[in-house]
Amino acid sequence: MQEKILEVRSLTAKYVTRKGEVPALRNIDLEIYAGERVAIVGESGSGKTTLASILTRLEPSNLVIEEGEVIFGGRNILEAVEEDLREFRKKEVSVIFQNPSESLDPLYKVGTQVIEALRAAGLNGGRKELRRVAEDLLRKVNLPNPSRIFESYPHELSGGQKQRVAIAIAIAKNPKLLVADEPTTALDVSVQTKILELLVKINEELGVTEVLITHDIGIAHDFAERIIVMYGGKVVEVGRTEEVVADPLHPYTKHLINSLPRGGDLPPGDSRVVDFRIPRDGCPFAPRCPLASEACRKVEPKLTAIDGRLVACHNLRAVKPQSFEV
Amino acid sequence: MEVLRYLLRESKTGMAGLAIILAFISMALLANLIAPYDPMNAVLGDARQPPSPQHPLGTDELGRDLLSRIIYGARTTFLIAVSSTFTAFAVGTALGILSGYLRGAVDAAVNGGTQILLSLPGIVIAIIFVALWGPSLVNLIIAIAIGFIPVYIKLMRAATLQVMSMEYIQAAKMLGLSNLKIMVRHVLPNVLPVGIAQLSTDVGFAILTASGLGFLGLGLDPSIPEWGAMIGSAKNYIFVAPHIIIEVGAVIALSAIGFSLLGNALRDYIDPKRR
Amino acid sequence: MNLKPLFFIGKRLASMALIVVGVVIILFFLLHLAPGNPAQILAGFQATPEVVHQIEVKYGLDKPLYVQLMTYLTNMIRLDLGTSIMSQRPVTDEIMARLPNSLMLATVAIVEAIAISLPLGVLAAAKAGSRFDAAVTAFTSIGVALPTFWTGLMLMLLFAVELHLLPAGGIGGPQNFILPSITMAVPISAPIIRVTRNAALEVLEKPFVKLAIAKGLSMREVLMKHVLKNALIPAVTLIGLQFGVLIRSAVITETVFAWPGIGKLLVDSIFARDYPLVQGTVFVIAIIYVAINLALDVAYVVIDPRLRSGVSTEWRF
Ligand SMILES: Nc1ncnc2c1ncn2[C@@H]1O[C@H](COP(=O)(O)OP(=O)(O)O)[C@@H](O)[C@H]1O
Ligand code: SF4
Ligand SMILES: [Mg+2]
Repeated sequence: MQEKILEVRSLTAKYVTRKGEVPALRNIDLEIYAGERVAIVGESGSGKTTLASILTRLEPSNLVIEEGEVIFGGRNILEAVEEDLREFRKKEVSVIFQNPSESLDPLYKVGTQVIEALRAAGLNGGRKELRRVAEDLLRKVNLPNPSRIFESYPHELSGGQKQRVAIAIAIAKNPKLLVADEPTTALDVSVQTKILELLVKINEELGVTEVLITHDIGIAHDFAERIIVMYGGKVVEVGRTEEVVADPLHPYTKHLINSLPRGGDLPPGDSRVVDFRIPRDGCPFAPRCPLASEACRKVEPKLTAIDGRLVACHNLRAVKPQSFEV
Repeated sequence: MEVLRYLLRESKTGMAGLAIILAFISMALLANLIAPYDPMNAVLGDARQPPSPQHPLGTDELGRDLLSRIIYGARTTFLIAVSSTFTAFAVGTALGILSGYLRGAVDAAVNGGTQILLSLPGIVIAIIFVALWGPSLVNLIIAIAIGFIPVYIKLMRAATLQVMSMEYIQAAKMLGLSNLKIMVRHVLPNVLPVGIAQLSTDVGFAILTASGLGFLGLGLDPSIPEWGAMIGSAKNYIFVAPHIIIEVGAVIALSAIGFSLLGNALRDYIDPKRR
Repeated sequence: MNLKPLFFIGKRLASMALIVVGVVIILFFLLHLAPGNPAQILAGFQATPEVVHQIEVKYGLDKPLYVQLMTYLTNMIRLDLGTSIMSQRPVTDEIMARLPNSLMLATVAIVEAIAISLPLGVLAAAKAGSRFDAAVTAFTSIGVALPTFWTGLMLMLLFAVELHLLPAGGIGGPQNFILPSITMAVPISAPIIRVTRNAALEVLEKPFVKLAIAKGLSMREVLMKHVLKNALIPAVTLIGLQFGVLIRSAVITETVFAWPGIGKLLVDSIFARDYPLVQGTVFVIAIIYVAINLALDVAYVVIDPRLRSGVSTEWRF
């Protein structure tokens, strides 16, 4: 396969709150390859945002990383000092958040904020020159009338326009990796598709590696070449999009696909079940899993290679008898 | 009780404030037991003595034991501070709830009054009132209270507006409860916590205002042990016997700090964002 | 042509004028309903009834109260605030001689308070939970609780009496500003720090701050450009609400440091029962209140572009 751009090894993290500790990530292992588009899918609370915040080193102050490594460019960025982190942020990694209305500072003009990103990325020059570059960027993200947008304040733009500005800021540094956390969730459905198309275009034309985080496996399917499924702070299945969607192996992935409204002839999943307590031992999905056994509640299943895929489930033999463990 | 548990667990500073306040209150209550001397007993030969083994805090300009006067002074000073803040609290809460609940003309009138009071600072009203009506205990209390009223009106009006949007108020209205009943039974208990946090902070402010008035020469009769009045007579001896004003001022500061620490902790406690 | 802003400004000015008139009326009654006959007090207690009557006539005190009030209000509109009894000079002259001193001192104090409070508040929030934060938070509780006369006297005893570094009072050079302005700044800065810290804590959680960090800006740039500016509106609002504290510390500070400003003028005139001067001084204080609030309205709009197009923000209260 291609070159790995990012590698996460047995990453475990928890939140410390007044009410106690909340486990957020359990032993995450994953790899991201240069130039690919990958989606991390899972329902709300599965730890996607936490993972994204660690990958970009923007984690909240009450998150404690207990264990693990995140290797980027040959270095463990969890051990990077502030100066190295700034280099990493200036040149290598960009991020896009869910709510475009909160991603831009309400008190500054859009143009100022784009130029700030260009300057931070090391571009020198007068405001006039930088303005030309900034307007080019705005044009690149398909914003009509870039010079008007440049002069606008965030509140004067629509949600979709703001998200495009956020994308322009993200690509201003020509990043190697772009992490987008639910970038379309806050937008109208008609706008969602356009933003996704834009992200695909950026990946294809600029070669930026993109990690898209979403709770919607449909969006993951439309966007990604590869899918990483998370549940209860764990990676439960990893595989090529077509394969995962056509033939989900993990019971949770099956549930996700069955819950899709356009799930074809599959029976709709039980969407009434929303709030399950996630056990700290054994398989996180056990309380909801139709195949759960005593062993599932006691022993945590490890990610296991099977048919070019990775799945964390004890009952793989039940689903795929020919599987083997590595 | 839940408040206490919160203070114990989450707010060391709030606990410190509470401890300071309790210490001062016990001091005031037990004054006749713990004060080493009669606070009124003037020994002119001992006037303006710096701290010594006989007089741990020294003596005042008439040779009275300063420690004893400070201990007894807590009674009057706290009486003034607590009465004036509670008066302001009661008046402000009533007006604030009325104006938030009834809206319309009442609201407009109360709002106008609040604006006027805000632009006429409390200290100015207090100075004029005490100077012209005379520095009696009651006048001091009223004078200090007036300055605090607009704060409570604003706070309680805002809190009432918030409560008014709740469903149970609408439900109570549907049941045909009288406005007065709704205000007393449903609005008041819900807005009270906001006022109580402010109350703690303001008792401290009232102590400061009283001592400020004392400093300006508008305190009670100087024979009465009261911190503000003590400041008023001590300031004439600031260069001769600085210990009097330093000590009394420090005691005033310490008690006000106690109320301010507790008030801030309580405000954090009721602020939903901080929970 | 869009008349809306004009309408808005007109309404605002009208309500402010009403406030000032309200202040004058309340003050008028506060003064005139006080026990004791002011003419008698002015004339001295040994004065004969004839002398007292002469004084009543001279100051219009013999007319019914409402006539006196109407006279005062109409004169006020012409900015004729009467004659000071103490000095026999026009009240406006007396006030104008003192007002600049007060304004300068207060401005220096406010600038000091803001210059210290905003960075401290933002830094404390950025280091929330640290010892630095705890110290700053403790100061916010302590600063408001220090009696102003005491802070002033302590500073004076230390820096003027003991160390002979600074003058103990009066006006003169810039060194005369140091002690009184610090005395005044302490009680104003404590609440500004508190509000700035709480606002900054909230701003720090906003995605746009994370985005600014993600751009690779230094923490200093993030705090100064994005956090501080967004925490400014609650702080500015607070400055308006702190007017009472400002005047209280001005009155006492000016008295402690023998600063010839209107705070001291107010106290002196009350003791002298110089009613025209008392009324004039309070009138000017009310005007300052109104002016500060107008200035803050402008400040909001300068800081927050959303207010320019009439979109409300969550900050304003
Ligand atoms: N700042 C935080 N403090 C405490 N708990 C948090 C915080 N953010 C998220 N969590 C908890 O961590 C878990 C994972 O959350 P998150 O990473 O946001 O999931 P997702 O993005 O998949 O919805 C959830 O249980 C959530 O409640
Ligand atoms: S390990 Fe057990 S409980 Fe977990 S998904 Fe597999 S079968 Fe279900
Ligand atoms: Mg999320």
